[in-house]
Amino acid sequence: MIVLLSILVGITGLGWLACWIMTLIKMFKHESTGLAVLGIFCGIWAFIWGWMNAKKHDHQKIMKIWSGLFAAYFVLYGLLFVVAAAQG
Amino acid sequence: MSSKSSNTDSPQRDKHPNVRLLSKLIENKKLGWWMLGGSSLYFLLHLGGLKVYICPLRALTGWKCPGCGLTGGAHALLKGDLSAALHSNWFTLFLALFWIAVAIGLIIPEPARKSYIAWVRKSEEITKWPYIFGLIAIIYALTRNSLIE
Repeated sequence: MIVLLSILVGITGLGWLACWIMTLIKMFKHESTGLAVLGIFCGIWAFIWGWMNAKKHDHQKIMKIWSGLFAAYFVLYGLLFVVAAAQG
Repeated sequence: MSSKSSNTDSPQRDKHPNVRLLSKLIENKKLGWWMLGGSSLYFLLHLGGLKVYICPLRALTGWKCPGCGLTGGAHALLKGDLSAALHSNWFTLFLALFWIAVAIGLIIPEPARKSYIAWVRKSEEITKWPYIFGLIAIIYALTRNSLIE
């Protein structure tokens, strides 16, 4: 169970990273470099910018995937933590 | 045909210098409020023990990104422990001051806000501090996993 959950966490984490990087590329392309640097610091800032500019820069698909992965990653990471704690 | 489409894409970008950071967040009130609100909400949830955001880079590789440790650092700063805050992340104090400056810019009434934005824009253009901030962040990200800690 732990191995399966770890694999799933790894896959969603990689997807999340990919969406973050793709949003950062959009930020550097369409936004000031300064603001894009802020997106490197914390994924949340890039996430907020991504949703606020999703329509404008045709970035809705990536943001929807990122949101889904965000939720999945959070749930899976929590589950992994609970299962690992239960198994000692 | 292609030059026409490229002309329609770029004029906005030419008007605004790339160096802008703080002035951009204050000028674009909607973006500023969302960024500030999102950060505050995340920090409050963290204080309540709920870690909504787990850095995927750190979780997958064990490496710290330049932003890793900022929330813990802000927590330490709130307790008045400056050395712990800086140990957690070099940029804790800078980013705390940054968000305070954003909040001031969003709250102050209109005539004062305009001159505040003009002053911030000028400081960004003259000193190019957002570029320096970015450069130090890159150096920090490259070195913090090997040399510093």
